[in-house]
Amino acid sequence: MARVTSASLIRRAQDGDELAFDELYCAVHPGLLRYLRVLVGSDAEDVASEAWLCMVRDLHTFSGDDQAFRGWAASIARHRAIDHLRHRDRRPAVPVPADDFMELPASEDAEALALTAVATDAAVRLIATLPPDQAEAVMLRAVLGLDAKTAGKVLGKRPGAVRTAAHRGLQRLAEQLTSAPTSENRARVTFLTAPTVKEAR
Amino acid sequence: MSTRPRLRRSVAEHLLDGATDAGPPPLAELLAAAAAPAHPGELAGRQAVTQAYRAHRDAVPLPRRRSMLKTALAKALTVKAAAIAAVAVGGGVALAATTGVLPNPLGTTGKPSASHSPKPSHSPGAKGSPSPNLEGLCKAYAAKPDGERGKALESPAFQALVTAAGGLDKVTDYCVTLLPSSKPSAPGAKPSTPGKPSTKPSGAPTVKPTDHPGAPSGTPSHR
Repeated sequence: MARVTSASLIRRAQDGDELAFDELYCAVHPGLLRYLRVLVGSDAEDVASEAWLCMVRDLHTFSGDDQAFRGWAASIARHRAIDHLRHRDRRPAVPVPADDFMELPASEDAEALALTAVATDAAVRLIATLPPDQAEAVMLRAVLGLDAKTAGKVLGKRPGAVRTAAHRGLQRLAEQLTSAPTSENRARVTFLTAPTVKEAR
Repeated sequence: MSTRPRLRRSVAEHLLDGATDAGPPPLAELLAAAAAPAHPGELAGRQAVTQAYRAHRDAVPLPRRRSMLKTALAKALTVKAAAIAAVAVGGGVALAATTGVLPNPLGTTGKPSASHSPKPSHSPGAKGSPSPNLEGLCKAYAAKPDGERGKALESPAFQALVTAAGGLDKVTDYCVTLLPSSKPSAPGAKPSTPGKPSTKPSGAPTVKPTDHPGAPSGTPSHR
């Protein structure tokens, strides 16, 4: 995912340049949507739309660079997600069983497979099984590309606390991935099957 | 847990910063997959959001947009100043060439600057751009003689442009925004009336086109 959207692109979008806005959307939306999937599960699309409407409305009030913009977008999305959950009065949807992913054909090209939509989906679902603070920290940093300070602002935490949560999350993911039974040639796509291991525990 | 491989903090930080060559490969790949480029299905809401953006932009004229218009104008004028300077240096009398350039900056500056590339590069396989022909329509619109523009917009061919701009009277502004490196001569603001161009060359050679793009000396005669 493109992590850098230049300040001038943001500025152009604020000035009414539709193409610049479109570019901004394409750069930021996928990460935002994946983050929201961790927060609200299958309602992510709806919440993302609401968030973008807020952003469109308030775009002229924003000022800052690319980091700040992503942080701003994440904050808005997070608020919308919390509102959504409160309104729906329920916890995020529990990730679907991993059976779906067991059927994936073993690919010769593991790197290409890792870049498919289904792999992204599986990866996000696996991250979503982490404790919420860890899952959010990992998503904001590794997927939305925020630094610890910006992510801390989004989450209302100190940068150090975000770092710790993200590290714990990664540690936990690494344990799940390495404890999955793997043969040499499947090692690189093990995350696709890892949730089953977790369920079996 | 059967194994507990410790993930060093520095490695974790590296991974969180987007490195794909750190830590255990499965973990790096998991994160790479989670942060993969946009998948087409994820951009399904693109058109709706862009539409909302357009609607909001046109409903609430931002003060900043004016500054952008000025920028676009200044750019267009810079192009002219450069052309004039070139002409003045090169041949003196070749004013015809100048007027040939001036009335239709859109045609001659066909290459949009890199920063305004119309194709977002982050959307492999995404559905077509929400406004595939608008740029072309703008060029066509700008290429029309002043008197014919209003009529042209009533034809079905320009319907998409009028809709996108948000109204007949907004098309010029819209096109200025869309084609920032050039400027359709708005009805009323005649940038290039071939009537008395003789005022231009005299002042022009002193203009250094690259120095002050914001303030070409020719400005007063155009606004």
